Amino acid sequence: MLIEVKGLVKGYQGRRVLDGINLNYSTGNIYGLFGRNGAGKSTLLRCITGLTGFDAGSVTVAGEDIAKLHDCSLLAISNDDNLLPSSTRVESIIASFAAWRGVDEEKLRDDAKDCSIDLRRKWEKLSTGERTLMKDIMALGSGAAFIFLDEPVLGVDAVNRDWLYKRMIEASGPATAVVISSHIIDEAASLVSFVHFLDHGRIILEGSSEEIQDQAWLVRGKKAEIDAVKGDFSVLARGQELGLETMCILGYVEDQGTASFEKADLQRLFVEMTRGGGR
Amino acid sequence: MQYHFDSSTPLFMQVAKVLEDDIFCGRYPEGSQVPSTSEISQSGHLNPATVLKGVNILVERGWVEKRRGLGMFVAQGAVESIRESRKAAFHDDYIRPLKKEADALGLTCDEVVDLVKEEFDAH
Repeated sequence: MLIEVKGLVKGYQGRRVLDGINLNYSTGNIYGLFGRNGAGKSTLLRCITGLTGFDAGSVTVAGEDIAKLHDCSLLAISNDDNLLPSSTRVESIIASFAAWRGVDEEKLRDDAKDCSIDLRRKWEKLSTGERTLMKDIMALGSGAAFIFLDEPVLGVDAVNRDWLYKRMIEASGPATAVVISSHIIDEAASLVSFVHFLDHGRIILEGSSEEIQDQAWLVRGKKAEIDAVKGDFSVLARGQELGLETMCILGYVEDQGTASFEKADLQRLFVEMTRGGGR
Repeated sequence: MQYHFDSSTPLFMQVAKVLEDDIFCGRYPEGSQVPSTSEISQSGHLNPATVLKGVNILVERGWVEKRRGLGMFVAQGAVESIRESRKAAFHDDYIRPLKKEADALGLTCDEVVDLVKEEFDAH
């Protein structure tokens, strides 16, 4: 099953928050949507899940326009929207959610207990991290084909993050797509099979993690050394460091010359590509 | 187990290497069951497709057998076969880099051989 996003544009207060987004999400994959604060990640996910409208372009879920989608149970999202009743106990929220989604209530309760969340507590008494976790637990336990997690580890401690990454893998499968949107890249890098970098409302890099891991390099040296590097690659970013030139490349290198090469991990690549800000 | 995204070894190769080491050291003896791909995937926070690709390397080499519905098991003769494979790779993996570094430092063959002997004699 497929979600197709084509030419998506959304403006807000005279600013183009999303500026022509094209991407596909297909079941059977775990995706990483990475961008800085304000890059448009949350807005993109809200458009895809039908929580907000857009100005141009299209979003289709299994071929159906998002605005006319018949089966809303295909989609689930965990984000910072606060729609849950604050004075309701966690166990009641779980029960309502399970009934609405037609899923096993016990599994959701077990997941919450795994994260040491007291089911008797009222929603408003939970910490930021506990609320994030509960929303993640419900999205991951929703049985939806497309699960969107917007900043899923916000305020979540290291032990629960570890649990959560395991739970994401458990929830993934041939009939499910999990989309992790975050500005924390390192922890999710090995988890995702496909990556999108979002910057200023545009996709500036997309590719399979394996391909990026294999083909992304950080090159360092004097300018002449950098210029002498030959091969079939694209230059993603250039910069200076400690009086030397640096260059991030993606592709095949035929001749390294005397420049020094090191692997650019996702986080480094992202920083190099989105450094500076203003377009 | 820690896997490194920024290593020059692809993640699926890292998965294969870790499992190979564990079998070679006898942590998973011949005939015993090895962890499932989803167990490895969850414990290392690794994409399931990456793990499958890594494990399949060992299956293709005949070191691990898949038994439908039961799981994956270390094949009989796997340890000896891994030993043979590593011996075959010893030149590429260890001798060639050794020569490269020796050349860079201006060490002669005799000097290197003496160093190697010294190490063997010491332990």
